[in-house]
Amino acid sequence: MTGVTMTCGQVQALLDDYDDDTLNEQERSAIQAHTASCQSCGKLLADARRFRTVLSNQAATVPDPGEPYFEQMTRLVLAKTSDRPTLNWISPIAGKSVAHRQQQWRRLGMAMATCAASVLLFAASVWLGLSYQQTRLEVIRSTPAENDIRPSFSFLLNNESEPSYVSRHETAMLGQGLVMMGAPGVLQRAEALPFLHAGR
Amino acid sequence: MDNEVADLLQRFVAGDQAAFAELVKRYRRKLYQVAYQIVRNHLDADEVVQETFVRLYRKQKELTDVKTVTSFLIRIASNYAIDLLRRRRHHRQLDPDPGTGSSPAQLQSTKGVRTPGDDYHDKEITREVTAALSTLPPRQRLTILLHDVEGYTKAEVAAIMECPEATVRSNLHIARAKVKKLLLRRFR
Repeated sequence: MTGVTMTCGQVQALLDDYDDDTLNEQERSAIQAHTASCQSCGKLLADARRFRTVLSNQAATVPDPGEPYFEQMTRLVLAKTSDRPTLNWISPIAGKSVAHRQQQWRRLGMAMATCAASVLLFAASVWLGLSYQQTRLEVIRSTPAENDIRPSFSFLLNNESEPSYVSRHETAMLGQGLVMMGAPGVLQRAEALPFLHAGR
Repeated sequence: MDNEVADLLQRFVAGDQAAFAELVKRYRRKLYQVAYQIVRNHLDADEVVQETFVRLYRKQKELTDVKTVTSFLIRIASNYAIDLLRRRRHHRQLDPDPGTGSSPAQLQSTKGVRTPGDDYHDKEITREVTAALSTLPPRQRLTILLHDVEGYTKAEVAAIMECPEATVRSNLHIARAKVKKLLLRRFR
């Protein structure tokens, strides 16, 4: 229907609905005609549309967490709403949100990696200590008895009837080993093992 | 209401778990989108989405009156998200680069040909709009997000927020004016 005219005030009051496309044909035609001829209302409409375009771009700021996340989240929701008993008493992280669980698993992984590294370090210390004692035994075997100058510490520990002797060179090596490896307990125990003195 | 959704809802109310699973699959992305727009971080958005579905499940016996599942779910999600924001009692830091990993903004260049400079400018504007939206009170923020960002009609927003359409119009008008003012102050 043509011929219906609107004032600037009427048009501006309906601009939002015009943009929403919720007006009837008559109102739409009247606004189209008015904004085509009125520069200020035309500019208002253009500005409003530009502003809504800017706002609608906000939807693109939501990151896509990906299909695996949604699948995992769905499984978790279904587990929470199923009639089966929850496993909260077994696992303290069961029933938490997916992201929370992922964070907890990462922390658990870090803790386990630290434990594994500690065990490896300890095993390496033991191995080095035993290797050192093996070397020491070879040195003792190859050293003439007249060069021995002081009793071994194992004599004091084991209450042996006769002291075994170590050379100056070997004592110095032992001292360096203790300092370097930082595992004096391991060395002392290794030294006290009777097989180390077997064959003397 | 979509016939398929109506059928799913009917089966769900009758106790069909598979129907509930299908409803979750159907609405999970939409809810995540709305929840993220409000809370602006993945951890909270994840919590909102899960809690929404759990609440839907708990209301299984009351769902006979629900006319549109979409409005019902978005209402639960947005209310929970707003509660979450209030509980936090402080505004979380906004994303450093909201545009990263997303499709580029579709603003129209005055010259008609897009340049790297235009893209940078669009991202800058998007970032500022995000910051401006975060300053709005929760109800105004939700109104502008649902209507102008997510594209729901005023009637739908009114149904979601359980308020008259006039309130939606009023909230929208105030929210837009505030955002415009902040943007003009920033880019002038």
